[in-house]
Amino acid sequence: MTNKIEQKIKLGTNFFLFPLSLLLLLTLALWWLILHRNEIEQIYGQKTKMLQLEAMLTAERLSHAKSFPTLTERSPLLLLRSETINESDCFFYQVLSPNWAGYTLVIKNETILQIMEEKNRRLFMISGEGAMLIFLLAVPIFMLHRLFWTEKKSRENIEAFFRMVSHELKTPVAGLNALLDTLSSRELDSENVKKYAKLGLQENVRLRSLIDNMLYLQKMDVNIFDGKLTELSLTEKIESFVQKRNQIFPSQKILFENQCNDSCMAICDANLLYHVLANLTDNAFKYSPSNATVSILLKDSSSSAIHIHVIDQGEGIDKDDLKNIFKKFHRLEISKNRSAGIGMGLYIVQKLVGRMNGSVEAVSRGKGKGTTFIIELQKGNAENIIA
Amino acid sequence: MSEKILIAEDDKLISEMIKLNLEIEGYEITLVSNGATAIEQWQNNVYRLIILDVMMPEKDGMETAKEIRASDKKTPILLLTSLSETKSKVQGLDAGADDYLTKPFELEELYARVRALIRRKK
Repeated sequence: MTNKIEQKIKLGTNFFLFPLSLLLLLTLALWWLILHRNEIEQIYGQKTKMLQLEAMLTAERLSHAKSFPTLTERSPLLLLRSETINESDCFFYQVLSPNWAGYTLVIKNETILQIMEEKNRRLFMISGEGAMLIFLLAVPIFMLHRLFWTEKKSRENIEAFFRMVSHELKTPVAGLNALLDTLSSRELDSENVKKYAKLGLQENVRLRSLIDNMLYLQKMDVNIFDGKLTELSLTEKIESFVQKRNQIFPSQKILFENQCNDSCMAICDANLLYHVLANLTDNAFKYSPSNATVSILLKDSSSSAIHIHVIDQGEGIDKDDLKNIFKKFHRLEISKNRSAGIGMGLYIVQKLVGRMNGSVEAVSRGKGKGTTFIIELQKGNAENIIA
Repeated sequence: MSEKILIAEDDKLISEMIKLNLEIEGYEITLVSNGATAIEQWQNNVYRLIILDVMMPEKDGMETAKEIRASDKKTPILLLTSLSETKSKVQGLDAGADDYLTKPFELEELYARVRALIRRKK
């Protein structure tokens, strides 16, 4: 229970982190603006005070006075009248303060305009600085937020990857362990021994394929690829692959159709090609109903390239998903806790085909309508070999 | 009359091995390969024990255990999984399982757990 609550708090904290940081930023900016606005108001007050020097004293009683009472920014003013004196519009104010009893403050219109202009200019400047401050703070917050989510996603993917690897490695080991345990402790007839040995062999092939994938991933990380590109007969290699796989997995039938006129010579590496075909066909059966067949079609489609089509009648792939399926962890994201492999098969396929100077693409008419993977390899010609 | 056990496991070899050995031990086994079919079987039959693999297609073991447990508090559920961390075990037991066995396991241990769970129900 505690664990669940902790998870919820963690999720909630993560979810609200960005809006909270934005709110904090806005509060800071608002505080900054208010602080500066007060500063402007103070400047404005000081300017107002200076008006004393420009004010004309018209009080009859104290017209001879040489100094004025203090005018503070908070001193309330009451507009009495306005009139033009010496071609200047003047406003006559009564200052509602006991010190100013008997005085009338006269302010020229142009002085007011000048002060307002100064105030607006300062406000505009402060607002600009505020906007710049928000921008400068928002960018690193956004970047940190993005970094945090990318890191979180990558961590989740790695955790899911290790969970799947653990499952995919331990399951065949558990099966083989149970098989050996059974064979050594039970009296089975030869037919059953043969049947279970065949299942053990299939498990062993899956285990080997997983180990190969893990090794290829390691090699890709450090950019090491073994294998050598040579001119090979695709017909021969694919026939051999299909025959071997059909023998080991009789319930998963692969049909091979060769539309090449000759033996279809292409530039490739036999081991890499075998591994690519193994990954694609495993994938095809994984997402197809039981007893479904998978077809491999070999086509001599152009003067420079040969195409291998791996066709299934499985779940199919959404159009939006097609461009992402060769990315690392993609299948993991959509499969989650399901038994769907380590989510690296298609990524490895693309890398290995690339290593053979070829390309691979997926075509699907949508969910439930099957998928076709098309591998393009260069035709056999020594000039095409790029080491 | 032999005790009926429902097994949902998508790995052919493990499921066949468990089925064979538990049948030899005297149990009657129904074998399915995913959670959805396991629920169908459980709805139409009475079992003394349900053995579920955690990672299965269509509906995983955790979801299946939760769904069964929502209306059946009595039938013992044993989870089989390759996930050995405490977090996964806690999740499995919280989902409604009564016991948890991590792969790879010894068949002797499986028989002992099956006997214990069936005995407890009696």
